[in-house]
Amino acid sequence: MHELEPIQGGDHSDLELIERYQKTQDNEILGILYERYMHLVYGTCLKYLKDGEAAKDAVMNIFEELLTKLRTHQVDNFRSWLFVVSKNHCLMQLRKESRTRTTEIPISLMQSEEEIHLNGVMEKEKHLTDLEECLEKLPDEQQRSVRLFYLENKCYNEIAELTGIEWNRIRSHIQNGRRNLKICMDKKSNVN
Amino acid sequence: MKEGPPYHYSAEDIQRYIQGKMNPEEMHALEKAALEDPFLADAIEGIREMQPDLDADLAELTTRLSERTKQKTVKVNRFTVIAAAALVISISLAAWLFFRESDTPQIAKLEETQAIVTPDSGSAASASSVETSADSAASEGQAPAATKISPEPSIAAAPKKTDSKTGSKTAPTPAATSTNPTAALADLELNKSEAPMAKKTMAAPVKDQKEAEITMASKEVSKAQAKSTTPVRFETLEMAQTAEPVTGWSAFAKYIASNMQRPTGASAGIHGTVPMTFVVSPDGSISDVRVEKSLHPEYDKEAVRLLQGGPKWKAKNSENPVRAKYVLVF
Repeated sequence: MHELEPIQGGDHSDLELIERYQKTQDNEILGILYERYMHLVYGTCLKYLKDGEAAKDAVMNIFEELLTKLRTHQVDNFRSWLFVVSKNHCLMQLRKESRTRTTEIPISLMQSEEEIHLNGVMEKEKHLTDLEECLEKLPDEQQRSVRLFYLENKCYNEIAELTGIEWNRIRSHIQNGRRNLKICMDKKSNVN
Repeated sequence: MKEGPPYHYSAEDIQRYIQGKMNPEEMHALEKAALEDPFLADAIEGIREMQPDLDADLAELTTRLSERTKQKTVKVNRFTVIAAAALVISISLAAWLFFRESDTPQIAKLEETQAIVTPDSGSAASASSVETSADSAASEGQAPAATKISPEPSIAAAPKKTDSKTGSKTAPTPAATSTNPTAALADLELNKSEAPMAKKTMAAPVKDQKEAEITMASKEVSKAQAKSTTPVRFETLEMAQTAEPVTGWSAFAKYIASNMQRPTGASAGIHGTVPMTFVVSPDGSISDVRVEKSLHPEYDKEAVRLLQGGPKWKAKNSENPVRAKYVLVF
């Protein structure tokens, strides 16, 4: 399996570091925390801003936001919170540039997105028959992609080779397929 | 699987994934994690699409971050004093201008309100842009030429770049400079000296890094240093530095993205990189394209087609043909 990367700042959890920052107001502590996720922030900014220099500036500006916000703000899950802050920062910037209206995404909405835990659902035996029925209902390509991904643990590249479906379509098949499966499974469990 | 993202995928992991260097199980694990984790998914998508030089960019960001975190703890007193002085100077100049040009009240009024914005938007972000205006004011006091090569200005230029996008919109700096022609001049000098850094070229990170290293050498040793110097990357970057697309890198990346025809059929869906070298002539045309490491015959062909059918290139620092390198990511 994948090797865990030793996180900078030793054993301290995100929350410990935030707590310590709130006590000491020491920027370097927040720097240590931010460095853990900087590559994710940078990648996310690249996705939205589509420009390397703008993305780098955004990474630094988001850190400025953290310095202010975390002084008082209580955060339960720093990583999810940081994602929302980063995304909103980029969207605000795009809005400033294009002068068109966009809406901030409320944190509650983002967290609900993360609650789709299909992996967990897959492991429960009692759902297996339901699951099979739901799988059958998926459109052909979607079904093949989902089966290969979840039941045979193939990666996108392998699925592409096995099925001849284009890589990007496989990704969306799996994203959509798992959503459809989730809806189907929810229906079944309500009926039962 | 347990709650929350179970693995911390590092920048290196993401890069290995995008370059197709992971084995299928690792890829599957990462893909599965990304489905559960929109943060990871967005980051991967951004890096896949934009193909940045991730190592160099993150090294630059680490340096900028450590500069920033040191700022308040170590130098807070010095900078506050300078910032305060700059504020006083710019406000009194604004006032002076206001009284002097009272026959054109509208313009003066406008400038005054801009000057007032400065203390109002006194968040940490704008504070550092005030610092830079303080620096330019300071260098005006001595000699504008002082903004040339010594390592100090490069420190000043770095945080300024951070703020130039957002900072200039709330316009504290322009307000200060517009009231003081000499400071404006000094500011211009600063802008000039940082211009190559702002360019979106592969060379930019290298330059930043070199400057950063000078800075760090003259200061205390930073964690960033250990990370930011790997001989391999310098080698490739120096190669990349020999030439660049005339359109600039980001336009070039867009060209690639919109013109790429991924092979279909048996070889569909392969992901990885095709490093190529080629000769850039003084007239901008390219020739002798060589695939340095083959990904797959079909993909190699497409990579060469994209490069040859793309915009012209220009050699840097050379009137003669140069050999340049470009790595295409599928």
